[in-house]
Amino acid sequence: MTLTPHEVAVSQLATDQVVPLDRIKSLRFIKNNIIGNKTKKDLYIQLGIVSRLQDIISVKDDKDSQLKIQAVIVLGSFAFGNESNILALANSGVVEPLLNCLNPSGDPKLIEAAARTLNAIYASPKVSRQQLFMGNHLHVLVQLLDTFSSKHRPGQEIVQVHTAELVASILARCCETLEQQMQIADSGAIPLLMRLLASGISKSQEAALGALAALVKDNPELAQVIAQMRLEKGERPAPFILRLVRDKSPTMRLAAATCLTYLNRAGVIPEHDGDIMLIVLPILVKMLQLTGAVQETAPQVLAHLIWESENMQKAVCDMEAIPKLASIISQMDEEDNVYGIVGQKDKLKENSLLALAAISQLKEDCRKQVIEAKVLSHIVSAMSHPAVGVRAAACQCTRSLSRSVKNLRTSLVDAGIENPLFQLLSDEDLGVLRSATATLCNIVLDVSPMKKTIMERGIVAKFVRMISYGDNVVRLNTVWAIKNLVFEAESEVKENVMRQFGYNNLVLLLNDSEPAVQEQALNLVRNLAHKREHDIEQVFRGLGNGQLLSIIEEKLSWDDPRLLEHALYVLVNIATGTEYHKQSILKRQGILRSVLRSMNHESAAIRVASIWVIINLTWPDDKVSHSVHECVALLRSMGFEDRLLALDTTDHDLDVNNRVKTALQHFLMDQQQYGHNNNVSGVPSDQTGSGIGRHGHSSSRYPDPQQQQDISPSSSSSSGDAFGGSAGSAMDTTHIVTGGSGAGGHDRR
Amino acid sequence: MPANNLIRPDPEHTGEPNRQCTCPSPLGGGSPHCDDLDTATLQLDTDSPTCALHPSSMAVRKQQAKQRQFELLQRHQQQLLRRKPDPFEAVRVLPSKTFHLYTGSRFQGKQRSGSHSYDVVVDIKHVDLDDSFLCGYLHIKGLTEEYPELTTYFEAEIIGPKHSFFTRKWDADELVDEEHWTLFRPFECLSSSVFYGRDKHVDKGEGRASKCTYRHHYDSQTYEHRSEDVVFMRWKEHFLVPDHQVQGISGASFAGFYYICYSKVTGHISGFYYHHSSEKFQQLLLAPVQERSFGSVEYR
Repeated sequence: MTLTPHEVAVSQLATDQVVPLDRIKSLRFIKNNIIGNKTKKDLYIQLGIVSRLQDIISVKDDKDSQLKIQAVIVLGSFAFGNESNILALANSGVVEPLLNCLNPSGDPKLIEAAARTLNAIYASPKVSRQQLFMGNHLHVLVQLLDTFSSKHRPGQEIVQVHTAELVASILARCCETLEQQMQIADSGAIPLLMRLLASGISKSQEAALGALAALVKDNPELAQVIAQMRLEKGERPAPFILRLVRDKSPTMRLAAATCLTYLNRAGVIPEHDGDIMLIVLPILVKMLQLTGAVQETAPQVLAHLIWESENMQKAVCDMEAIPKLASIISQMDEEDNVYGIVGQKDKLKENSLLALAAISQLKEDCRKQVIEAKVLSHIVSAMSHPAVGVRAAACQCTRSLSRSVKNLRTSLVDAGIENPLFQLLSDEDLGVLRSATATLCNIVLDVSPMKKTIMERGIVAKFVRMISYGDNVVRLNTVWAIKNLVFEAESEVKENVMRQFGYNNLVLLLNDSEPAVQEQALNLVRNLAHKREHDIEQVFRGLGNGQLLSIIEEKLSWDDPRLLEHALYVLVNIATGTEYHKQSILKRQGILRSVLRSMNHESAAIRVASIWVIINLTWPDDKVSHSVHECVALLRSMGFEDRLLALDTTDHDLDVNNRVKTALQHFLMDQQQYGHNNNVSGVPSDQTGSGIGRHGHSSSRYPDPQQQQDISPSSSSSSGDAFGGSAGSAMDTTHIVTGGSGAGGHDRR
Repeated sequence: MPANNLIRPDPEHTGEPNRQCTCPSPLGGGSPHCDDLDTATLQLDTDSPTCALHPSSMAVRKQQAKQRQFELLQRHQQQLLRRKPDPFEAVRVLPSKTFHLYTGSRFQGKQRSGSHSYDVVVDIKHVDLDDSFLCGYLHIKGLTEEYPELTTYFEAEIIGPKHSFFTRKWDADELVDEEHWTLFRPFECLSSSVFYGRDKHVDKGEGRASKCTYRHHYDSQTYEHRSEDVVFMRWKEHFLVPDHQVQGISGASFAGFYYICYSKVTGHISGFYYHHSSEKFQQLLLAPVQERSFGSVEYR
């Protein structure tokens, strides 16, 4: 049996081959054979070359570095540009010996070759980064960034510079998690990267920018550290990088723009906001018309930069970025159709969709432009794309576009997003599931014609599965969707939703570990208890009276203004219910005190909400006027009227002021009917003013004091005991409560 | 555990079996009101005495609740520290609410056209004051036989930092603008500054237009609808609801737009429809439907 020359070459690599020269020859032969030849690479891997190479580079002998160098180069050649080969290499364990080749006392050429091969291997995000962060490897690697060290050897400067660039690139690729970022920073890499940045060598600067960008990405702490550093001439990095963003090389421009983008999002270079807007933004938009890697990455950086800024979104819109992105996406679809090559430019498509999502996130004008660019049909088909990234980004797009009543009623229905969206709600990828559930929140709004059809498809049954999926974002989106769905909904819809979803699940969400989830759950309660007595009663029954109000009481004591506002509006809504519902609030001194405290909250919206609680509790009602009087008396004794009077003179917010007047009107009406005799004793009041003072104050406020003479309430017997007495018995109290309930025509039993 | 345990002072804990807790409570002293109607109160109990005499007292429970919240917040902050923020997390658009303008509010009234009068209902669907934008549905009854009730979707340009009093589109030139805005009484004090600049070279009592030789443009920078009692808007209808694809309706048109004036204090809206080929000054008069209950929605 004759061996092919390839088999011969591999067999000659065996370590028991005594003539090293033959082995080097074989390696050169193999190297020349496989360059750019995927078939040959596959062939050699099948012949088991990887373990042979691994044996060669694992030898602890440093005398003959030539053989090792050639072996490392061949490994790099296998890794280059082919993910399955990379994984084959990584799985057979070449990373550790390669890291060992970086030993600084070794041959600089070997170090460079090993760095190059490692860089090629780490190009795949699927390769574990764990080994790099074990033992001494990271430390050794970072030292290689130091091209100015005393250890440097004459004649090897260029090799050392190349090595430093490769190391910066490796660091950039191994900097995904917060922990990795922190470890790299702790290893002392940042000052060395700064030196590389200021080196004046283009390739080195680009590599340094890449590593710095990876360090500051979504990491405000490191961003702050880096923004505050000084380059050798005392300059801060940001203005220096701003000059690089105008470099003639597109890759340098992109690297610089990326770094500035992350610094900007971290909020650490506010003094350059203008430069970002006027210099970086237009440069990124222009990159959309380039080709290759720059065009592929630019939209993602653009999306990152403008994501939270309405002004930048508007500016990008004015720079005609939308038609450019739209044509990138639609052209790719055409090419896919013609050549059937799906998957080649997935990343470009994903990033372009993400940029569109960013632009149309906050401004209706920008959404309008996206619709006019006729790209929606491509977005919708991208929702069923084989690549998960593309699906998720397409969904982000529809989420942004669906933040509009107009789009919900027109273009999104016409484009048929409902079918693909419903499919994506069962997607296996977490990223897709997150953005699909986010879009769903808007699709189930009352203005959306798709609400009805998506409910008919059984969306409610999916909710329970979605909250138990175990992801915070999916859970948040789900409760958000439910609260949007029941807004202004018919009672039957609300009941149907809650029957399937279960009040027990609602309770879990109200006590969720994420405050954001709690907020939405509270908002859901608010919407459930909205408008009809029947609906309020359903919530009372579902959660249990005691539990409902205990939850509200607890949320009111939080310092979170959003929880506070929703909790107050739950009370506002409950207070439009039956006498029983009102009484259940009035029984809770803790709740009333929180409401009183909220009337002085710094947020006008919260002051308005708390005053609405009082307005509704004291709402004049012919049927139960007596219990309204009892309520007014109680609130007055707790100091609500005084607080309102104080707000009337001190609060200059128009909305607050108007609500205060309405509430005071209720107190006045009560006073006119019953007089102001409930100068109760024994009831605690956190007001400092005495009853007399209050009285005096009131009469000066109210224009009509004619009815102020004491008119004892006709049925003062019970009310006096209930509201004023401090020695009433439990029996009495219960009697009053149920009596109140009966008066409201409401029977709990 | 019977519900009563939560309500009566527990002798074991107070150590003073005969001592009643005498804390005052809103509905009488002695002991708190019992909520034995509800068995679901076992876990997250109902009211209890407000004194600290026994362990289920409000003070103790509050303390515990505070502690729980504190721990939860701390845990949450630690989690935030450990995980990187998602840079592509949806930015919230908190719904605006000002007086009667908020998602879900409703106005009722009439539109007068010559001797005819039609019932009108307006539902506000979204308000974004930051973007000087709101939108909603306009329902009008009895306009045509084909559509006894016609609903359109409209969008509002709120006059302020983003939109000027000058329409400059929809076939409305400055004369048309002036002709309409000056129909609103609250506009009187703005009129001279919007259409004739701020200088007082025009006598109040006399015809202003004839006396004025040049026009100043109103400086929109100084005008902010949020600090005004009255809000001016333009409402433009865009399509029919529910079927947005229906194109023309015989006997009715929504090609024009409304000049709108809304008073925050009274909640009243008045408006004038303008379309170059329609009858002039058809008036819209709306009053808010009183709401005491408020839901809330938010885009994601």
